Amino acid sequence: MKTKKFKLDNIFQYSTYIVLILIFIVFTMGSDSFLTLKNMYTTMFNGGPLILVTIAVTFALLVGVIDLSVGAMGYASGCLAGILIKNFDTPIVLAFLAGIALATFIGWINSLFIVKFKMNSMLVSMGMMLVIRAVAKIITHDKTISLFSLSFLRQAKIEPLGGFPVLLFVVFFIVIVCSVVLKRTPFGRKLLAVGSDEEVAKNIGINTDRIKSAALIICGAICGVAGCLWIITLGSVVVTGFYSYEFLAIAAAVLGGTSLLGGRGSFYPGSFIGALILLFIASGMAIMGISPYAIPFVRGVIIFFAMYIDSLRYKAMKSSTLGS
Amino acid sequence: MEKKLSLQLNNISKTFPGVKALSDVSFTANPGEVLGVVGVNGAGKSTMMNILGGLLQPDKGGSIVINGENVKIKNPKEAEELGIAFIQQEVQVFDTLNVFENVLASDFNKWTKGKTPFLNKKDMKAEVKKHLDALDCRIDLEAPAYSLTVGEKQMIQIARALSQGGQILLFDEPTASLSDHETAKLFEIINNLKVQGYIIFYISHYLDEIFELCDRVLALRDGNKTGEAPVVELSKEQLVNFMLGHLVEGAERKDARDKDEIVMKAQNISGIKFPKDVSFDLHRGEILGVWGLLGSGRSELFNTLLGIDKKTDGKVLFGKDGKLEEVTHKQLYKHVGYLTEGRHHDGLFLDMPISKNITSSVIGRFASKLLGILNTKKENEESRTLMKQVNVKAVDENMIVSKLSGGNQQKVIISKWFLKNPDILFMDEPTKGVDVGAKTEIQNLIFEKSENGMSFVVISSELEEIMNICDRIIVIAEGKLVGEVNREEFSKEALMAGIVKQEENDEN
Amino acid sequence: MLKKIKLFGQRNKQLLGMLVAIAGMIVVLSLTVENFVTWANITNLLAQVAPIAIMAAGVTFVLITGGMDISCPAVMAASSVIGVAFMTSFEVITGVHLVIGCIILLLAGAFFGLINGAAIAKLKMVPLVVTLSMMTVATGLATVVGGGVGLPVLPSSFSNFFNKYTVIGMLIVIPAILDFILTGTSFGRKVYYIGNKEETARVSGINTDNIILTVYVIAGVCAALAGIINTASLATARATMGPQGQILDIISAAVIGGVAVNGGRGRVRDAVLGAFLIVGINNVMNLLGVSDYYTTLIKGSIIIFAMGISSFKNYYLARKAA
Repeated sequence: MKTKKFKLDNIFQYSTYIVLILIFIVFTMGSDSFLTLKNMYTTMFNGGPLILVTIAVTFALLVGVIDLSVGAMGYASGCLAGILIKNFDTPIVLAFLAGIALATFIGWINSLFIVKFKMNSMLVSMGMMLVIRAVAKIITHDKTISLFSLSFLRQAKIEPLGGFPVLLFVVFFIVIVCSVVLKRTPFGRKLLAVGSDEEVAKNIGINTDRIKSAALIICGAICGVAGCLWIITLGSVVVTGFYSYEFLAIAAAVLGGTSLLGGRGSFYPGSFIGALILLFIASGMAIMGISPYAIPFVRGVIIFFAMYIDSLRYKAMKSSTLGS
Repeated sequence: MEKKLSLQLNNISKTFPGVKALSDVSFTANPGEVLGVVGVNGAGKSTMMNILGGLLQPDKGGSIVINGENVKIKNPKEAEELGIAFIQQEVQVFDTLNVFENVLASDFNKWTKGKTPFLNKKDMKAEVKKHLDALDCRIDLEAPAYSLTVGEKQMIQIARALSQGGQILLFDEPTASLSDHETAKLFEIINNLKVQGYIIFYISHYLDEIFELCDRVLALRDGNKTGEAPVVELSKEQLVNFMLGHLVEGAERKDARDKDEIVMKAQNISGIKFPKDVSFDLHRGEILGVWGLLGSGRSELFNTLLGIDKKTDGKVLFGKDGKLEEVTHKQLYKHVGYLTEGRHHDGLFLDMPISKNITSSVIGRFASKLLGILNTKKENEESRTLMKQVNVKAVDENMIVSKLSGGNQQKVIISKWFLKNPDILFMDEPTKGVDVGAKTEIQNLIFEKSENGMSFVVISSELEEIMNICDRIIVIAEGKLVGEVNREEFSKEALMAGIVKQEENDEN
Repeated sequence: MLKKIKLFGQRNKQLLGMLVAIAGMIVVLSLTVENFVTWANITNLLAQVAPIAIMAAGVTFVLITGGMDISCPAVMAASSVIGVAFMTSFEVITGVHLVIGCIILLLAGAFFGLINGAAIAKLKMVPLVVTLSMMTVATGLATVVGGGVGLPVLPSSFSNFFNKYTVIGMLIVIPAILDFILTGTSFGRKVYYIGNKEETARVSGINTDNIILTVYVIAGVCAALAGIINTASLATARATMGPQGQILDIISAAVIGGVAVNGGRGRVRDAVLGAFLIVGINNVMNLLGVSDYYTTLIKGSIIIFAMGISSFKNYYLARKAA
């Protein structure tokens, strides 16, 4: 009986890979230019911010918190860095650090409201998202900021290593580090413990407030990195940056097996592959010349089916506790 | 364990707004002792354990002394450091982590490889295996916790307590969800620990267990210590007297069964895992008991019969005006009430008033035919009537159910089904977690209703109770019907006979 | 007599608090803004509140069962676009076309709600994710059906029929009916039972699946009703009909009105009052000449502040007890 349950668990893990492979097959059949190295690199390079935001939101989801401000945090970070570079001639590295610091700070404020004052995470983060976007719109006067000084970065980072974008290393590095932390450090296991059952964690002496706050602050920091990556890939700061990323990121995380109730999930493969699925749907459809309006539609449908599979997984988990 | 801890509580009180949960309780516990703690719901047992476990703080003026030193237990971590391990009634396990992570969950930081931040999983597993072997528990260390039985999860809690180096163990109602076999193992473990010098507190409603396991007993009532004595010097009646303040008479059954009329016939009922091909009859006014070991599939039988779990085979016939007709589970449910095992899980609407709970299964009765408009005045009137009938102790029908004691909550659920007045009432552990006084009241109510024609099907794990109230008992093992015993032949051996035979068959 | 008032006050703290807040807002506005207390202005404001209030009313049912529906504005836009697309597909648009178009609009809203409800109740999927998918799908659908250019304008008879007085009538009647359904009928009571503890409701013999499905259909129909109102004021329908972040307004209206996000508590009447507050804030900002961005900023802060007060109270009490 026990081995059967493990097998079920593993199948569901692989289901994420399976969905990705299926998507690849569909699009490769649909167009010759899909399965090219160039397409792979470009999609992942441009999708770097989304991948990082997904990783960030996964931290929050693992401890059982829904953070809807992740998109806005990334946007704010990129905004600040962009403004510093353009208007204040700040050296690029410092500007990036400032952006990351800002996003981390916002993550800290979220933790204050959600963990310390025990407010509803969804509403607080939604409110925070609006506040941030409003402030950013005011500061940028709703105009785009072009950053020519960054274009050299963009070119430089794309060419070397046979077309492999060096910036992707940053993304991969973060994914791998987070994955290792989750699976092999006390902090990572405590994240899961708190998300699985906060009451129990408190009862056995885990400092749940500290763990939750840490998760939200790290979430902010990674969003900060996403923001910096964003302005490099885009070469400018646009008002619609990171638009809807929060929902996409959560969808990607859940696609990858993260539970919205906390305590279950992974960075790799989980959230990383989940983000890739959403990215490649868009890129595949673009290559096949399908109307961009249909992209949210297709994504929505795929998320729907993936969620159905997830609910089966949850049901299987619950039913295995029968037998008393 | 080298040092042997002694524990002393002096004048411990705990006041909550409006309620004094503990008043001036003092006692001493010595190493190598099993101390039973008894009392009705609300007497203060859990409060005391919570204080020892660091989850609550005592009022000023009291003191806790461990090994001659005054200590303050401000949180569970400090309790752990002082050697106190609290094994709570609610299973404290992380479903999404695996076994060895669960056991060492409170000490993750201590298991890193040298100076690196990485966990030393090999050493962790070895440590956990050591403790689980000592408990004679054979579960896969990498198994995810959600796949374990309740008994196995409890083993993990005990292993956790031991690995923390606890020398004072607090058990709060540990056997409520354990099988006979697991209970025996638990007792063996506790006796081993006693010999090694541990101090063990054991809270239980099962007085038999107290007498079997404990050296001394502490009785609480309304927050006061009302008695403390070595177990050998006490009789059961004296203990109950300490708990209730008065003696209690058992309930008496007058056989009112209509031996002819069959009100329900279950044929070849099979479900997903359990039950397997179970058939039985139920007569009008009969109290039918369902006996079996934990995990034998009794609750599943109810759930499958009533449509809550999927039925893979079999049919149910219901008797209308003397004729038996096959019915779907939806049709059957119209004539049936179901008091489930977990009153907090699916028996009550905790944040709602008593009246709304009582009317919840027949809300249509209080609504107009056409638009469903509710008549709350009628609701309240009928709730009050039932509260009196069943003796629910509360201020009025508007009191929120979560504020009631366990026994009264159970009575609210009983009121709910009595209001529906079904032909058949299924009850799964009707007096679980209910104190002695309310237990007898509930048994009397069952007798009364059956004399008026209501049939009962009752699951109970308490041998004495099931033999006391039932006319007939069917025995379930591994989902199958393995025996049927009439009241005249009631005895433990008769009930176990079918189970033993089934186990012998399995081994062959 | 005095005792009765006191008791009423204690039992209905939420309601009184909100009425006080709204009254305060009206006083401030009438003193600081010219022409506030004019018939024209007040009726305009009420007509503005209607769509949000009606959607908040619908969402209240969903929230009480412990579910979530973030697809309301998207469903509103999508069903409106579908309805208008039908209406404008004829060379000459008659009253009959408009009426049938409205019916189609409502059916579309119900249909989207049905899909949500079926996925959540029958397939047991997570409400947030289902309605999130629906949100993207509906918005995409609205964009595709609406086309890049947009739909043609409706004949003025439509906007004339749904003038602000009709809309105010809808604002009063529809939430009143919904509130009564929720608090005075057995269906509504069952919704509360499910929100309090779904498992217990099931054991009590309540058909939880059907009721959960129905509440999402209710939310969908309410979104469609709001769509009719918005279509009338625009004289057409677009995918971008609702302002950005309207879903936050709707959910906040319900939350400020005392509907618990975890389910089991709240009523339509209070959610509607919450909608008044939210729209009131919008208008205060507008009349004072504050730009959209600041408005969002302030709204976000007020919501956090309003929730913060109760949460802070809990935090403070918890610290005292420990």
